[in-house]
Amino acid sequence: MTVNKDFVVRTVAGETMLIPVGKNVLKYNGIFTLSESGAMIYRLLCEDKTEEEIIAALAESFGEAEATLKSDYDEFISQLKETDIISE
Amino acid sequence: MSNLKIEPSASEPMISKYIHAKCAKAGIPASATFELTSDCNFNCKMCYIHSPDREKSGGELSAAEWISLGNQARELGVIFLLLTGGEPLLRKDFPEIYTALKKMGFIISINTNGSLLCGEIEELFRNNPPSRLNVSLYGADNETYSRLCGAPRFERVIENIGRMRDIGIDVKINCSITPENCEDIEKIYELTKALGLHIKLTTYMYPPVRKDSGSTGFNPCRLSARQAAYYRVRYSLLSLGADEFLRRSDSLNELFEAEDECVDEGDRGVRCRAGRSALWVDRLGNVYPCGMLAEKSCNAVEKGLAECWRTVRAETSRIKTPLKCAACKYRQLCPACAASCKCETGSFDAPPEYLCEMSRYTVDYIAKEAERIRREQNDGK
Repeated sequence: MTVNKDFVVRTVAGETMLIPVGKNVLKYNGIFTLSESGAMIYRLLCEDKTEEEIIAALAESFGEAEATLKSDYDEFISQLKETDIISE
Repeated sequence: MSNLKIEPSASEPMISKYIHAKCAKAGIPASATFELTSDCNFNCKMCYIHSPDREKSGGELSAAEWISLGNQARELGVIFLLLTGGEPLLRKDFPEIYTALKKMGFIISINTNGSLLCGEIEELFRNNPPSRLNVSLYGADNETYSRLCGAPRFERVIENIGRMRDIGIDVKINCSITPENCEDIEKIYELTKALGLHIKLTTYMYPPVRKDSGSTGFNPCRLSARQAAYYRVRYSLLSLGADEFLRRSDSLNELFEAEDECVDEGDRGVRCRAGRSALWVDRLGNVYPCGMLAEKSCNAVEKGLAECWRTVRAETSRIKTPLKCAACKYRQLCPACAASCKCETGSFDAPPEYLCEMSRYTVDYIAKEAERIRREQNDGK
């Protein structure tokens, strides 16, 4: 998966945000805020980690079963694709 | 994941309020203003920054210094960055500064008189747009522009606003009402309404103490307190319409009836974001809580932005505004703040009499207008 380089991730006062840069400003005219798990997934995607590696990392951090996390992961990836934050 | 939209041309989006509140609690500056220059191609009578005498203006930081400050602001946590002046687009190195700051992940707004939003700047913004342009509108025709600013550029500014909107950039209008443009108020309202632009209009002008330290309590280029109240209410009626104006005037009356005689000393601190979640850097790198509170300060080029922020934050926390203001029944509608107290009186804890008078007249004019509207509505029945 390819992460759209026209976002900058910022973490301030416990909030992780994706801020559009370049012409993306016109497309989105807003900020994406990420939950704690979403921020982790996004960071690991930027490091080119695989789905398996990401889910394993989530399981270790959040203590949830991988099967549960897989469902949340799929939903989050789907949102990222819909908004062109990532692409195949 | 939440996609929180910054609504086009809204006065302030919820996400901004949320982040500022969190940052204020954590002692982090969520927003910063970089005052890139005091130079301007206009010469507005009421300006608190611009001096036509360039020798007197004393220079400005280099592009490299601004970019360094941008990096430091990013490290501190700044999300919202406002570039202002003077006229910031006048700087020949503005594209260099702007492009570098944009890459750092700020939500950037720019204050501008709008006259230079064409040519190379138009191309720069087409390829790398800011989140918002705040265009100052000085009147409704070239004649008013000449009278107030010495620059008959009204038509050029409107044309340029159109260029920016064609690109898709959000444009907000700022308008300060003075004796030279007060009679344009209806035309200004109709124009911004026709163009679908959000406008922030103010009738209060601070004494320009930054430009002239002897001007405490005095601004020869502003309306009298009574006139400021009159035009404030006149504009409210225009923008709200009669029914909403009546509804809000009724709420105001309820507010005044529910006076709270208990005032907490905690009510006397700075209420806005200045020095709490916002900072201001002037063209020489001096750091202040806000652009109107420019006294003893810390220089960020000498000491670093982080140390300056700590100093500004500590000094801001010690400011006490007047007890009279904390207890005043007009507090909700009065624009008084720590900066206005200081600019009007020379002291943080002395009430700004100009604003006291303006508030009294505001309430009086609201009541008179409400009575007139009701009478006309009854006569019409």
